[in-house]
Amino acid sequence: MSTLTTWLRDPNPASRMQSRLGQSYLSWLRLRRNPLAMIGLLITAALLFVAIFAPLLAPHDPITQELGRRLLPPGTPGNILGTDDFGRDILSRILYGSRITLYIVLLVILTAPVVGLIIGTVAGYFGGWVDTILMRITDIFLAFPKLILALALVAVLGPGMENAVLAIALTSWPPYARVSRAETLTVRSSDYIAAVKLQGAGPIRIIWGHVIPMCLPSVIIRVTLDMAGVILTAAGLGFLGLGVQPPLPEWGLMISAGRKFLFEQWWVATMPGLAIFIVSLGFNLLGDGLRDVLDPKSASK
Amino acid sequence: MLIEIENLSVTFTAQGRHVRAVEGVSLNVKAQESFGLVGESGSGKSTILRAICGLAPISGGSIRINGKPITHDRAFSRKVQMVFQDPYASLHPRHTIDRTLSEPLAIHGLPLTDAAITKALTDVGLPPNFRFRYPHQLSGGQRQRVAIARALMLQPEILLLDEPTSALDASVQAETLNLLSRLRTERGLTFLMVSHDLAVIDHMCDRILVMQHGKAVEELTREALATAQMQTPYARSLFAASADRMLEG
Repeated sequence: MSTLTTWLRDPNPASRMQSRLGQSYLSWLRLRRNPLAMIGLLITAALLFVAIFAPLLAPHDPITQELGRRLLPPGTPGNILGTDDFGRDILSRILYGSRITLYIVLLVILTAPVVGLIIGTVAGYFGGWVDTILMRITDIFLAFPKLILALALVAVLGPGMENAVLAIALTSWPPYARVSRAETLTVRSSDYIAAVKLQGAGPIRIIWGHVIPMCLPSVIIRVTLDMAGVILTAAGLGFLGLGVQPPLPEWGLMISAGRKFLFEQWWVATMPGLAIFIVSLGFNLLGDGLRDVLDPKSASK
Repeated sequence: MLIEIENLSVTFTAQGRHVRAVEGVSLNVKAQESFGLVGESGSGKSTILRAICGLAPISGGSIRINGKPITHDRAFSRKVQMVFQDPYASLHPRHTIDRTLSEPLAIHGLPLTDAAITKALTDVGLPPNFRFRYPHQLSGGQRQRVAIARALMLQPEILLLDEPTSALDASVQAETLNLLSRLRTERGLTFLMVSHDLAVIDHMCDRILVMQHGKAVEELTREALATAQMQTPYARSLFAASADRMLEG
């Protein structure tokens, strides 16, 4: 262990890989100093773990109905978090629901920030009419309330998980485009961009290799902070019946189903609500911690 | 003549206002010569360098290298490189020295070997184990050495130096100037150097052009400078301002 850490902390690395691993190790040390960020990381890791091992962890099938055991309160033997109006175990449904949540989150992470980053950096780097056109398009998307636009899209495309993801991705890229354009504007007139231009680099190389690395930290931070919003939008679409369709155990859908019993059988809506709350909090805390680690200004200290 | 600049004008346009940074400046630089541009801040001396590199808009006149009008393509990059004023701003903060130095080779499709990077570092007097450091782990002088190494990666004939030492403290300034002089004699480089410091110019340059408000005031040889034979009052006052430091040096 100690030889590994000395190797990682070597100020004069001997290879590209060692220097890269060493940098990651230093970032990890910085993240570890922040207890709240570690709680966020723990929650995110727990979500990942639960999603992977849901079939092993869940005591019951999330879809099979057992009408004789409907609306049992939390603490009933065999149903720790109680059952819903079809007698399905709420704990099992929450555990399986984490898969859907994670699936939606991952798909949105892989699309919206990438699109936003490319549009923002291209607009910021080229400026002029390219900037004007791309940013007006961004403004049009920003001008709509997010959930309304997502609703309109889902209404056109038809309800379903993939369409919900598409709707969320299409409505959440504009902030990333704005953030990365702002970063690009501060970077593009800098001497190091002038230097690489002078070496004969083309715009693709400059944007990809020199501008995007400078925008990435703020975009990554925004992504983790927005994850909570994405989960909530997905839950909102599920709640309105336009996202994931029953009987799939999506958390928003579960809250929607529990609404009818909110005063007599409060746990049906509360338990998935708590799950959404905890996961959103986890992503938010992690995002805050990553801001401290990835911010180039604090990294240089 | 290696570099011929004739009647060069540079005009910046911002929000409908035109700012004439350089007006009708002409100068010629011979191969392997070191030519200095002197003037106070805002006299347009750095703008001339940026115009040569295509980083400032040329509104009139012409720039020729080896008798041919300049084009900003890859061939130009292999002939002309620049060292910027502020070594804190001219190196990408998230790239290692290794990445910074390999980039020019990668752009031009040249063989990218460990030996090439190591040699580039030792040529500018940096130990090879600095290779994977980040700019924030280096001092100002070390960063400027990296910037010089980067400019020399493509083995250009002409090096444009934009106040290469003004951001450094005095002892490091001298080291960096000596490094530049050594590299110039070793590689037969041509320098076009900008400074507001006559002492630096006197140390480095064979001929100088004094500039004020975007216009050329007077061209001087080193001998004329050493014997204080300025014709114009402005050049004389500029000389008087830094004469004490020149005598010390």
